[in-house]
Formats: sequence, C-alpha cells, structure tokens
Amino acid sequence: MDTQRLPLLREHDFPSSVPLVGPLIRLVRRFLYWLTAKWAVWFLIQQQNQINQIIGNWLREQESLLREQESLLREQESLLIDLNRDLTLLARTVAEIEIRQRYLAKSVEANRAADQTKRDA
Amino acid sequence: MLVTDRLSIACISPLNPLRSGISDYTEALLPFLAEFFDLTLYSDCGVPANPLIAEQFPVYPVSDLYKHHLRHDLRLYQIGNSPHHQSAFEALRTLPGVIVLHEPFLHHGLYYSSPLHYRRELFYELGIPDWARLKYMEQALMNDDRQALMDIPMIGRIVDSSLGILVHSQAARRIVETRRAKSAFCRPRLPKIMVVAQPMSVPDSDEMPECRARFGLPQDALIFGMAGFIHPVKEPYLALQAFARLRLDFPQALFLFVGEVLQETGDLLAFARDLGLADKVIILGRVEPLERLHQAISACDVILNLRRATIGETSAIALRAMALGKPIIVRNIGWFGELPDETCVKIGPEDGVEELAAVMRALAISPEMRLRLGQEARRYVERECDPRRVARQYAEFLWDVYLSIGQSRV
Repeated sequence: MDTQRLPLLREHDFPSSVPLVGPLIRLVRRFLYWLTAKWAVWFLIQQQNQINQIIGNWLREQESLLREQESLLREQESLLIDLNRDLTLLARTVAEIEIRQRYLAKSVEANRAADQTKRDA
Repeated sequence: MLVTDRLSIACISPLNPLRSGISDYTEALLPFLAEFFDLTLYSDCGVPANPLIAEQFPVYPVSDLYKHHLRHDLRLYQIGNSPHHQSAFEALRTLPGVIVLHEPFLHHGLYYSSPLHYRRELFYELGIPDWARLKYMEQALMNDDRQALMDIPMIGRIVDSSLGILVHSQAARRIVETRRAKSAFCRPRLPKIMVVAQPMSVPDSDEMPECRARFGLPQDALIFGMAGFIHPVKEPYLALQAFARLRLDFPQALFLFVGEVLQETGDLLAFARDLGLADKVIILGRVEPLERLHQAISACDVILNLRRATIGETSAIALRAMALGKPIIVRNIGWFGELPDETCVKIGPEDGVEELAAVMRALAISPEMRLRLGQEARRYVERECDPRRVARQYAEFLWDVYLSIGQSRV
C-alpha cells in the first residue's frame, strides 16, 4: 500500500445509467440520501478520514524505520561475512598451532626417552 | 629431530548404511590406510553396516569430534556434494583438517543440509550479501542448471580453512585453483593440493554367460549398459536415441539400465516405446549387493558413462566397469578426459546422437576392439587405482602436511 497517497473518503454520488430518466433518478436518490443519512454519514467520513490520517502517518514512520533497519541489517550482514572469513582463518591458525603443539610434545617425549636410554647405557 | 610415531588420524566420513558412494569409498580404503595410521572414525551412520569396519575401528558420531579433537594429530574429512556431510560441514568451520574433495562443487550438499547455511556460504563466497544472486542460485539449483552453478562452486571456505586438499583429478585441481584465482579477497596461502587416483579394487571377472543367465538375459544379445544412478546429466535419452540408430543393423542388441532411475529422469520406457524400442530396453533398477552389481555390469558388452556437464567428479561406476574389463564410452570432459585413450572410447563434449551412434556401432561390430579396450581398462585400474597404492599416497600426503606444519616456525 502506498502510504503517501491514502485517498480521502467521499460521499457516494448515486449515479444511474438509465437512459433519459437517469438524471432524474439520480436527483431523487440524492434528495432521499440528504433527507435521511447525510449528516450522520458526513460525520463518520470526517472521523474515518482522521483515523486514516493517523494510521497513514504511523505506517510512514514504520516504513522509514524499516528502511533504517534494513540498511543496518545489510551492514551487519557484511560485517558478519568479514567476521566469518576471519573466523575461518583463525580456525585454520588454531588447527596449525594444535598440530605444532602435539608435534613438539612428541619430540620432547622422544628426546627424553633417548636421553634416558643413553643414561641407562 | 625425527618423530616416527604412527599418527592418530580422525576420519570424518559417511559410512554404510548411509547410502553414498563415499561410504563405499571410505570403507574400501580404511583397511589399507590403517596400515599407516591409527584411525578413529567419526560418522553419523549409527552402527556401521559393514561388520569389518565396526570391529576394526572405533566409531563415534561426528559431534564427539568437538570433545575428542585434541586426541588426534590430524583430521581427515571425506567431503562430497551430499547432505550426508551436514555435520562435517559444520565441524569444518571450527576444526579444519585435510580434505578429500570428491567433487569441487558443494551446492546440493550445502543447500539440502540447510538453506540458511547455504546462504551463509554463498555470501562468504561473494563477500557481500547479494540477495538477488541468492535467488538466482536457488533457481539454478531447483532446475539443476550445473553450468550456472559451476560459476561459484561453493568451496571457498573449505579451501580457505583446510590444511591440505586431496582431489581425484587434474580437472578438480584446476577448479579449486581457478576459483581461488577468481576470488577478489585476500586469502591465506593455498593449502597443499595433491591428485590421487580414486581407489578401486579389481574383482574377479564373472563369466558373461553365467551373469546373463542370472538376469534372464539372452546369451546371443549385444548389450549396451548404463549403470549407477540414472540421472538426466548422464544423458540416458541421448544414449537411447543413438541406440535406436543401431536397431536395423543389430536386431539382437539390447540396452540395459543397471541402477535406480531418479524421478527427475522421467519415463525412459515411454521414450523407448516412442522410438520403437519397447522390447529392447530393460531397466533392472537398483542392484544390490555389490557382487550382484558386478554381475549385472559383467552381463553387458559396453558401458556408457556420459556426462552433459561435469562438476569435477570422478565416476566410481565407470572405474568399476573398467575394473571388470568392460569397454566404456565417455565424453572427453573433466576427469573422463584424463582417462588414457587406450582404455576407453571418448566422444567430444558437444557431440550428439550421430557421433555417439558411430562409436557404438564401431564397438558393436568389433569384438576384438571391445576385448582390447576392456583389457587395457582393467590394467589401468590395477595399475593406478589399487587401494594399497592410493593409501600409500594418502599416507605420504598426510605426513607431508603434518611435518610441514609441525616443523614450521610460528
């Protein structure tokens, strides 16, 4: 819905497509409407227009908020992609460090065992 | 300083009863790999269907890898384009290791594991949250438009995080390297990549007459076969059209589909009827166990293993047919193009019905040619794909990765 162009409520025009007597029928209908419902309907139309105005303003606010959120989300998403990539590199570095640790621990153990053998000999 | 201990390796792979070619692959390789390493298996298969695997190796669910990872010197992931690898994809994010990339194309595997994670991986590749591109890729996935998808093979994170990559063809290696070269990001150094042959044991040859009798096939027929999952990418319709051209000259010829016809392939029998081949085409459906599959392939004279588009994959079924001494017809594309010319018959990547019919005819009229090709194919598999040899190549590569990292300076 385009909230910039919320249409105002209007009274019904009571058209008639009957040839020749159409305008007369329209006049009679309008007169009856004027006599029975005009003031009540007019009052309701005014009220509804005010409500629509309020809702329209509120929707416009929400829309602009949503746009802001959307642009923020895009920024966050881009940031997340960068973080994701950093995390991948970090995970690889950690994995490499773990391998080095195990390798060094094994080497130390092997050297210690060799020293012990030498001493025993 | 020399560290000569056996390495402790965590193997992350699907295993049977998970129906995947990689389950069979891993199970075939493990006994030979165990000669070099202490292996612990991580798989979401539940209890392995193969009792030899269940008895010989400790098997844990993949989620246990997070608890156990410090017990192992290296992690070895078997990765393919299927949702069977869902937990491996997740584990790879935080616990990288050496990857065996069975095909450098992970769209289906990632998407059917989780569309949300697929989005995350796509944006990782693109570097920006490109929603229009996501929609395009999803559409291409639904239509199985492999050419469109191949532009972004979705291997970015795996290449970035892995400590080493094993692939089974130069074509796959090129895809990995090209993807990386195309990327605009500053990425860490390319991990070591090695090409190893796909392991394939050479079974004892079954006698053709005996195999034909088992399946109720006529002994005097000339049988063309297509085996494995029957997917449109394997061009079954083209094969049938080419086969139809041979009908007059070889009235005794049959076409045998040995494998499950996937839903997206459509009605092959209706197509055969339209071509006037109703009584010439037989669909066996999925053939189990492996020995029976071997018998079904052995019952054929020629095996067609075509690909409309390749995603850098190898074909276990093509190697199986070669191991059984069958002449195969392939397209000169990807890994298939790397097979030695004397071991198979190749048609061009764009060739159509005429060209395929011509090579089928050439094979049909020459039993000597079929025999020679089959023998060469079998010799090739014996020579290059021996699981013991492949396991040794694995061992050399894993030691190389381990020592180069272990001995490097921080």
